[in-house]
Amino acid sequence: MDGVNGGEDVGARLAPSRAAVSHWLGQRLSAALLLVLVPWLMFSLGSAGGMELDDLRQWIGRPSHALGLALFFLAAWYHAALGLEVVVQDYVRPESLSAVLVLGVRLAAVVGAVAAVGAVIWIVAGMQ
Amino acid sequence: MNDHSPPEGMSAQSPRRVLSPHLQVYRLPLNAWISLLHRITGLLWCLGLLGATGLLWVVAAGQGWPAAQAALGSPWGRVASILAIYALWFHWASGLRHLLFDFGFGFAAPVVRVGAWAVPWVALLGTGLLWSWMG
Amino acid sequence: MVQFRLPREARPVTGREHAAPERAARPRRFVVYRFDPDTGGPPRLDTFVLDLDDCGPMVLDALLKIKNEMDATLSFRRSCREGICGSCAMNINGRNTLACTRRIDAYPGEIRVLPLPHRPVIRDLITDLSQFYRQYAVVEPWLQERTPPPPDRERLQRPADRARLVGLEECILCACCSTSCPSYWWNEARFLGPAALLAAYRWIEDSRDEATAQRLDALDDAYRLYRCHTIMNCTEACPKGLDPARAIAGVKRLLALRKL
Ligand code: SF4
Ligand code: SF4
Ligand code: FES
Repeated sequence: MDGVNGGEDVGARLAPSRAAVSHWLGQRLSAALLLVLVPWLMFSLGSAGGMELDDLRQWIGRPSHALGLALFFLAAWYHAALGLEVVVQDYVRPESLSAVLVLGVRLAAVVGAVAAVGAVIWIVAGMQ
Repeated sequence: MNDHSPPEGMSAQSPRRVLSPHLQVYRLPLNAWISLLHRITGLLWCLGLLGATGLLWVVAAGQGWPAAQAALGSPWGRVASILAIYALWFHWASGLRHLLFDFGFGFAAPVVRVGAWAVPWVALLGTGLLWSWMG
Repeated sequence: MVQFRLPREARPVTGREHAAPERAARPRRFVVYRFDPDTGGPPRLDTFVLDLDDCGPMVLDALLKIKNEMDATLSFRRSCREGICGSCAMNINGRNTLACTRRIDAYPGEIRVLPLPHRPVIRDLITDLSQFYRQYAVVEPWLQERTPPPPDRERLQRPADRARLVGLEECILCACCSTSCPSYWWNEARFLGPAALLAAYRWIEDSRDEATAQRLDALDDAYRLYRCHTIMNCTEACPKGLDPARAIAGVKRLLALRKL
């Protein structure tokens, strides 16, 4: 009979991936940023729905606001990608499919982040 | 899954096994529910982020803002906004708790329980505060 | 996708009812999971009504009474009957625990006894834990040293260093924690689970162990360690009052500090 170490492998004995801390750290660091940025945004733009377009652009166009907003969208898209990745890895089988989905998630997040920051730059440029 | 083949010397016929009940019978502690909701609110806000990025584009392009305003101001838009804000506060509070755990704080059993209870209430408080702030 | 539902052939059906003895003073219903690999049928939930005035105080006593007096085919593991061997781990009223240290009167009504969750059932309350033991072996739970031992004595440890192992070294490998963890249910093939990770941390924290760096390397993996999302079912379940969730957070913290 096989010993405790023998027999069919547990996947757990595949070589460790060694990139996992960075993922975890990135999730926490972006979370720490969002911890501050999210309430700031909610209290600043929570009533944006009732604002006139020009007032809204005025508000976003202020350098400090534009910077904060861009930072928020970068951190949020990054945080969302990392979080989605975890969910995908938890539930999606086979692993090849989950790997493809993870790539897709990353790509989508890059597109989203570029779009958001691009829009902020566009608004700021439009103010001049 | 496991290797269920019998050890050598035993009958070649592998014994029948079934999976024991799990999610169906486990009485999840409160903390597990909060954890599940953390995940669900996070997933919701992946959509929210998509929406927010879209709105930002509308503002940047300068077209379609009245339509977006009308959608946000409609009864359904209002309900969705309030739920989204609540979900965001929930994820925020629960995330804060997770950060504290990661630093090694709050593992004592009573603190875990009180913290888990606090999350939905903090989220409610945040939502109410925002509501009154906006007038 | 991960299977959240039980496969059809694994869904228990209502089984036999064994009535209470005549003139039972304090009858109490026990619903017990039964599975016989040799017959073709699905698992059953059999009901046994016992008289608590004629039964020992623990849930294990009730199971023994059923086996001795009502149905000798009931199968379960037990040995020490005092919470130290870890054999009698099972799911009682929805929570994993040891049958031998749980008082019957701690539960108000009917008591439902099922095997540890999301394991292959061998028979009745006996599940296959070989994967659990292999995962324990993966973390190499023994003292690893590079420097030769002193010629005239053991490797000594200061009392303060020994104190760091309190809450880590008392684990009896009952598997209550790992089989309570949803992440373990969905990823048992690659996630090591709380018990093995607690053991890993126990050796990382040991002042005499000289393989700390390699141990951390081996855990820096998206599946082995980072499937843990601090759900804390493990800590709630541990019948020895240990805190695997905190130990896992300790491993993550050490990895993060090393990276920064
Ligand atoms: S804390 Fe981690 S190991 Fe424990 S139950 Fe939760 S996910 Fe599983
Ligand atoms: S940590 Fe607790 S629950 Fe887990 S195996 Fe050890 S004694 Fe059992
Ligand atoms: S019989 Fe040993 S722990 Fe219960």
